[in-house]
Amino acid sequence: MSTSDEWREPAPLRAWGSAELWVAVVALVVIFVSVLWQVISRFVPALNWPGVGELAGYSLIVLTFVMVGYLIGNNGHIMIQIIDYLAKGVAFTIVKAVSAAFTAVICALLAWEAYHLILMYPDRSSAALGVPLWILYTVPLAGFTSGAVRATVRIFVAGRPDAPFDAAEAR
Amino acid sequence: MILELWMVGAAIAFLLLIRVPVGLAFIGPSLWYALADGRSPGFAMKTTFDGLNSFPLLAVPLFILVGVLANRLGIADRLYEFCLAALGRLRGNLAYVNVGSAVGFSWMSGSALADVAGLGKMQIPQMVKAGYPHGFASGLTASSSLISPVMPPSIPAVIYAATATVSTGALFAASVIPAFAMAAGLCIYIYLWTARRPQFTSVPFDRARFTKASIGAVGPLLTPVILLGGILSGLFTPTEAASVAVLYMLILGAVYRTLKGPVILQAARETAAITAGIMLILGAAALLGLILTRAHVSRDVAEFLTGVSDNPWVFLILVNIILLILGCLIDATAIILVTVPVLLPIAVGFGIDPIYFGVVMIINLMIGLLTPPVGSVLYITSSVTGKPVDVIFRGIAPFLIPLLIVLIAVTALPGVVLWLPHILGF
Amino acid sequence: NDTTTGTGGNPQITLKIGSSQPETQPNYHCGMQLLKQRLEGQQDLNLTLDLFPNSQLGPDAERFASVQSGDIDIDLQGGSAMSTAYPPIGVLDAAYAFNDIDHFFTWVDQNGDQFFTAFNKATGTTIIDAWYFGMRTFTATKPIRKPEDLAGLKIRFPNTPQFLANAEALGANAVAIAVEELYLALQQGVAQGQENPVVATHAQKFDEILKVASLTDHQVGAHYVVVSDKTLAKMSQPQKDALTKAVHDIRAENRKCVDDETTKVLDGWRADPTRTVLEVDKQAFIAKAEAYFNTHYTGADLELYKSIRASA
Ligand code: NA
Ligand code: NA
Repeated sequence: MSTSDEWREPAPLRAWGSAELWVAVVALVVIFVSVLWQVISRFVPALNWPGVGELAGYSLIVLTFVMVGYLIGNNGHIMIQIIDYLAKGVAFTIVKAVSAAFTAVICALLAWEAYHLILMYPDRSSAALGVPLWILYTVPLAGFTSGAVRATVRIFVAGRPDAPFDAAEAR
Repeated sequence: MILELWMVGAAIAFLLLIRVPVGLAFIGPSLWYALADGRSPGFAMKTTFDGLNSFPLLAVPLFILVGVLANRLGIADRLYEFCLAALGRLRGNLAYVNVGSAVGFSWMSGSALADVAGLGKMQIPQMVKAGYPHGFASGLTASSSLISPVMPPSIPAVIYAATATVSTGALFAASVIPAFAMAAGLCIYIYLWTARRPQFTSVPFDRARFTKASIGAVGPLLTPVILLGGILSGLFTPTEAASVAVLYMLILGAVYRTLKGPVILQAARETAAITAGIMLILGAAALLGLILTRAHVSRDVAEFLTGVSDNPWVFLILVNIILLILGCLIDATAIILVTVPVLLPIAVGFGIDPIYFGVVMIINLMIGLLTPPVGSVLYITSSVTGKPVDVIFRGIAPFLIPLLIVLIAVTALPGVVLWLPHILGF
Repeated sequence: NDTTTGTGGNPQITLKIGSSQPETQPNYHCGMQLLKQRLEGQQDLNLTLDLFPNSQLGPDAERFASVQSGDIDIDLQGGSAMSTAYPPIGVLDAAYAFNDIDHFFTWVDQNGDQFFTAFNKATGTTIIDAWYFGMRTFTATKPIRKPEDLAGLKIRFPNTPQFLANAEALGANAVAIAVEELYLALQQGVAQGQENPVVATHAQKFDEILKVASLTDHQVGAHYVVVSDKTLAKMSQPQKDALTKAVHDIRAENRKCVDDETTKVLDGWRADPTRTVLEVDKQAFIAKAEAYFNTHYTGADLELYKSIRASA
């Protein structure tokens, strides 16, 4: 199945991606524990803590945005692959390069917007935990910056076949 | 207005066509439109962020984790062995086992992907070895995997319920009969198919094997009792049930001695990668949805559709056709998120029950998972079998007939869909 | 926004107005819709109002953030969602801080200017006035006549610090349940009660499950009409004056609608033999809450709380 010609991210980006995946795994564990905590605390009132719902919600947000770059780098985002059947050879390489360029621009715009949000809400904090929201907006800033870098790299390797993504093998 | 909404639509279609990730293809043109419309810089990012902040959506990663754990902790294998021991005497036994284990697994899995990836890897080679044509084996596995996202727990149901603000519990209850109807439809097809193929013999029933397999499957088979029982008896809400189900899988893994650190870690990595892909589309659809809401698009579409006909059946047929076409082209999650806010108020205006509408919509869109050009089950089946997509689709095509008949029946019989939620008092 | 100079020196402006209230609620048909009629009726004002009820533009706290950024022009907001940007406004939501709605409006008219100016400095948004939403009160499966009756019941409160403090102040056993799952949770018995104004309880159909209403009236429900300063900067003085006047004028009409609707729902409940509507020992609740908040709050919050209680 996999051939030596298939492109994989260079080592520094793989290490970065592995760190992103670790953050996502921690966020997933927090979601599980928090939601379970909410159930248990209803029967053991001493464990009642109003922060659990919010903690779970923000963990899902962290999980989503921190993985943006990882999924771009590993070809793991959900995308529509009609063009794979229509464009072959050089034409397909050009499509992939253009696609990566658009992906990079969109990620860069979102990173720029996340930066604006950090500036716009210096005093707003979350209702239950009181976490300043600007801290939470640094997660999409980091995720979309990572995505922009990954997509930019992919413009230049558009000619190489992609290694197919298998979530079960995610590292 | 400098930019018209149809240009946003055209730009999204272009980006999707050149294989930009679906979530980013939605966000890019929406962001551009928002800025041109005078929104503050940050509007698109904030709306995407806020779109993910909903308690019911927490069930998405948790139910994905349940399915992944069921595969990795050997729980799916036990269901398979149970079905094999129970159904061995039927002609075409492996085909029925395929549907039977899909039904068993559907109580633990909320999406079709875990089903194909896990059960498919095991079942397709075994069926091929027993002499079934490759197309039949992979087509049946792909089709039976659609029972998972319809039977509770269901990720599309969680997403629909959150978008439509209806009760997840009621939608779960309403999905049970249609999910069994899908299984029955596939079994009838298998019966007709094997009737003309005497070479598929049966094996005699082995009581000892059946007893052993039944004992081994007691734990997995109790999952629906714990999930629906817990929700109905007021122990936890449907979202919270997802965390209880994860805990239950971990307990089963501990009992079966399959629970090991590296297995859990890899299950968490797999879940994180799948969840992040789905959730980005959820956030992106929230942005697109808000832009459409601010422009009162749903009101305009409603006026147009009610102008076509004031008959709810014409509306339902129209919706089914539109969704089947969209389902071929776009990811199911994205369709639910973008069309529910537009279509549901119209459906309610026609007197259509939102729970029943959700069931029809989910079955319809799940059929799209099997069809090119966009069908994730089709691609995963192709990747687990190593056969090209067009070969797999030729195997799937005949199974679309029983599935479409079930869709038509479910659409035509709202009373049957709403019977169970009604009895359970939802 | 579509801002071009129109006739009479007033720019053409479309105002997008958000609210969590469904179309069936007084704050929509006796509030937002009246505002639209009155302002659009004065044609030389060049104002168009675009209404988004029923949380169409998102949940409360997220909508308020959009008012700050100018992406929503006007919104109806309770105090607790805005306390994420300006914590003192949460104190106005303390249980029995105000005895009743008259006390609340008197306080707003006397101290509002100063308080809302500080709010404006912190948030970049302007509160024009408040519209009544109803007194928050308990509906449950069992009667709640005195604070001790709360002990055996799990009552759902919104999951914010002020509401949870209210639960503690009244002696209630609060459980966290997301609003999306509340109906099912009440139905299945995850919680045995909730607190909301009578009209909201009826509109969200919680009264299909909870048959005992105990009229504690423990918190004034009010929706502040809050405008983005970015929007005000685009409006001419006559437009701003007309908006302010219309919002103030509607306050009394809206209140009458809420009172009428509350009476109608309560009469329906009282006429229904399967339901109980109870008057409660309010003094016991008030004393308990006041004792709690006098030690719960500190610093400026405590001063604010005490000044409100002193004006009772
Ligand atoms: Na399922
Ligand atoms: Na498809």
